[in-house]
Amino acid sequence: MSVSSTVASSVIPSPPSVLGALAGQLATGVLVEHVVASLGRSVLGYLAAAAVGVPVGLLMGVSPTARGVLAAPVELLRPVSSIAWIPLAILWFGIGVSSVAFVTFIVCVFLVLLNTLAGALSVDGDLLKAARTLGAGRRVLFQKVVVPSALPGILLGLRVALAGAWGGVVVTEMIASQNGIGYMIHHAQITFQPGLVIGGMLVIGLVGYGLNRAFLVLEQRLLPYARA
Amino acid sequence: MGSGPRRRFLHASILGLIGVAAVLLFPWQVAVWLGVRPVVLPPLPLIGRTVVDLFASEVLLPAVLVSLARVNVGFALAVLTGVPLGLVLGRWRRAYQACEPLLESFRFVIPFAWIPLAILWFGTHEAGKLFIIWYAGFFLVVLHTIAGVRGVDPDLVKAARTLGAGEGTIFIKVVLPAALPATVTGLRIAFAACWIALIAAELVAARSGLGYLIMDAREFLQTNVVIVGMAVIAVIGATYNWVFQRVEARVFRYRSAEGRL
Repeated sequence: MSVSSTVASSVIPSPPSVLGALAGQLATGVLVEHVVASLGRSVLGYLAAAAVGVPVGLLMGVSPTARGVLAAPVELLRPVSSIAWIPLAILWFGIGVSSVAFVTFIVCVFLVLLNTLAGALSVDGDLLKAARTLGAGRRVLFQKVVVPSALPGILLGLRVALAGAWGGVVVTEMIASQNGIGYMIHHAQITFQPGLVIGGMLVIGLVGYGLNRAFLVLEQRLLPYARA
Repeated sequence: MGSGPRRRFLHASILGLIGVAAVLLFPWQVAVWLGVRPVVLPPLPLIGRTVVDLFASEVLLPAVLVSLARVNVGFALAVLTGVPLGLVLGRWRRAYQACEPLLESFRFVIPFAWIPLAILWFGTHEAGKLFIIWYAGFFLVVLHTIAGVRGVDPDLVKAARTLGAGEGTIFIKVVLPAALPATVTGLRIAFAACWIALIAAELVAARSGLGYLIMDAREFLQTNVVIVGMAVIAVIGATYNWVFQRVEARVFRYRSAEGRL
């Protein structure tokens, strides 16, 4: 009886011990530090991916030549699963923020780019023709027709990428970082603290959920007309 | 003049080659010329030689086979558990409502976050990796199967019922075939997730497989091996994706052909 309960608690910790482990980390402020570090890296890689993915996706959308030239390298790099970049990232940037942000960038950039491209390609041909007939130049066409039509695709890409960024950060931190929530649960595993491992997983799930909600709320506030 | 499609294909190929050369190969070679160390970017000819060496060696093939075995078994488990559950939850609203909170909350706990717990539970035993792969695929399979069942045309079900079909017959003859396309799409997406999750699990906790191979090569600063390993991972992922897409195309054609009747 006592043996079986010891085994059980070492492998599957009780809910109070999970909450206790979390409370301990929360009280010392360590948990918040890890989460903040992880969020910072996610945002860094995510914004870099948006800054590259949206313009390149739009460019490929409006210019057949750009599409022809860039499609091949994109299709060549895209199947390389972002996780497989982790060893190379460590060779390039060492252990730390740069590696994690780089992998996050890779996770996000194709999601943003391809959804932006799909959005830009979905522009209604009749709209373009009508605008052109009414005398719109290329610039006006791009600003007033292409970008608004592509917006739902861009937003979809940005939202999917946000979830991807969080996942990418968690797994990269297990391998290539000395802090962050991914490092925390990995370290808790090595030092055999199952309560903290599960507590960390809960936090990861909650933050992922929160990021998704925050994005939807912001989208609703800022661009209520842009829902797909 | 003459064959338009062929000309277009030629045109696209030339643009593609220009793109690969301009975006990938040329900057790479320039970096090498500028004296970037081989640890960061190995010279291109070395990559070619590494491909030959690795395929000739006793290292790559066993790693590929181990990873393929893991992902196939884990994915099969996800399909065998996910499809039946998805069918049940898609057909019976009560069951879905009972499971929804569980499905929704677990969906947000990403597969990677399970890796440390899987190590605690299973050590570096195969069961841990299979669990991670199963978890990565399971929810996607369930959700897409549910969507497939929900998307069944209610008129079809009504028509079958009017013609005297029982619930069992309706399920087998109407719901299953109609839910197939969305389910197959789900399988393709789930497999991609399984493959990524396996590589992640092998990076963190394995002594064999492709993920371990590139992690081990990094340890010895063999960047050329890391890059070739990444390419092998990509080719395998892309091949599976291609096969699933072929199946999807066939299944969708079957459905639209039936729709015309």
